[in-house]
Amino acid sequence: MTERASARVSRAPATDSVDRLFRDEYEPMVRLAYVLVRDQHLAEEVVQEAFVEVQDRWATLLNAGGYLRTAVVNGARRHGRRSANRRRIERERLHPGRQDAAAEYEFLIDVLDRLPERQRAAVVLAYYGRLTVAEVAETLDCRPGTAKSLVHRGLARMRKELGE
Amino acid sequence: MTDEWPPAPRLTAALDDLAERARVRPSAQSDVRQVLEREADPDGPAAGEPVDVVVMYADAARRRPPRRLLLVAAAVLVLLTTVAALVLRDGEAEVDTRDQVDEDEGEGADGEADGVGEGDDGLAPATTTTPADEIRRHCDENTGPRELVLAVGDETIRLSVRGGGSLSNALFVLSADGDLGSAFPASFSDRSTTVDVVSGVDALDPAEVKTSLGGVTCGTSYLVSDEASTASALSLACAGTTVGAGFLGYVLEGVPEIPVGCQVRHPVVLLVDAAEPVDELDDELVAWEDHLGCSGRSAGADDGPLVTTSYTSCETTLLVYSVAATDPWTATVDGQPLGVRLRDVLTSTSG
Repeated sequence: MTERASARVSRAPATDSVDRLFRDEYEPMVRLAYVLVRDQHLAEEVVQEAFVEVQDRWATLLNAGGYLRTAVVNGARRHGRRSANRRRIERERLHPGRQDAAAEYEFLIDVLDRLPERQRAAVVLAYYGRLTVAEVAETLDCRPGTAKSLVHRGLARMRKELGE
Repeated sequence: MTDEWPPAPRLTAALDDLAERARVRPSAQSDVRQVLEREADPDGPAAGEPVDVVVMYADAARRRPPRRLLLVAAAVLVLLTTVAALVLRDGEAEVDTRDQVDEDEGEGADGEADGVGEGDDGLAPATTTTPADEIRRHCDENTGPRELVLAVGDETIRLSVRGGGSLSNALFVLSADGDLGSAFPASFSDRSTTVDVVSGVDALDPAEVKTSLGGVTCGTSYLVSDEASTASALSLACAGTTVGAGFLGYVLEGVPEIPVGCQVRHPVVLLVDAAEPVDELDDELVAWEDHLGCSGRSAGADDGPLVTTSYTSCETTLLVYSVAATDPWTATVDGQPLGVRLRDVLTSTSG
């Protein structure tokens, strides 16, 4: 697989300022938010809110990058349902039937979109973000066992829908 | 790529491909930088302090770009200052009249919760009246005004009373984008005691809400929230519940996380999207079931667009409706609007 540096969700970088965090993480966070909400403007809004949140709490944060990532995931989740309707409409417009799915990637994303929010977030963090179990758990504020369970259940459900 | 997860190269490739479609717009990035610089202004309001600038969102999709916020906020500030001045003036006049004719001041409203009426029953001068004092006073007197504005951190809550009611026997409705189904309030309330809370808040800090409310809500209040406002609604409810006053039932869209430290002891109704079956919401629902002491979950009758989840036993009532409708408030149960059913459930199980 080709490395795409801009597509990675950085591991908790050491930052000494909000400015540096912003410089380093704005693009990766927008891409992460986009993968979660599938809407450009919503993704930007989620990321803006997350950075404001981080700045507000900067003095008390031990892991600013991790907190930022959590804030993005939580923000996406807060907005997630409302964009779910849009995704549903987009899906119905572009993919009137599963058999008409234009490309394998679209189909996989389509199946991913149908996962419950937390499962979807966990799968995205694991497979797009390349995060470890501990990092997924930290981001989703759950136990490592729950993080594993969310990912495995998400994958199982996707495989079932894919007929695998 | 961590080897802690099963390999899924197609999925990873699809996600990478999706992420590449995101545009990193320099203008949006610049906007965020400006917001951060403005937020970091040392001369600006400190976090947690009530501020006079009001930001109201009618709809998240129509939120104005940051550079217009100050203009909007300034206009709203002028309007609210005028309203507040009129309200306080009217309130004082009403109080003065009652001072002359009523011998029994501080008589509580019907159904007031414990804790209301305790503390200061005096009528504070308008110039030093806090939002908590205002609420307490109107609870005691069961009178208007018809609108009260609370500043909570950098957000606001506006309480507007419809019809002939007051802040007691209130129904608090939170809708971040204002589009909570119009059918619901009408079918739920008896129209004489309806309060709409139209809020632009995203996520309230319970500590901030508690400070702003001063631990005072009154009457038999229920709280209804659409999904976008569920976190805020629960924060508001927990703040009220924690101080022992106010909320006696909650109707929430979605399954919100229970805020840390929140003790919910009143009936809870959760409306979940039928597209996400109840058994897929295990983690979230288990948390509520544990919190409310419910066990023996089972799917109930399938009633058209509604599937009711029931429990063999619950210390506190928990109802989970799985709703297959774009607007859950338009669903019907046994021919009745959902709002009517929920009202009956909450009023029959509340104290």
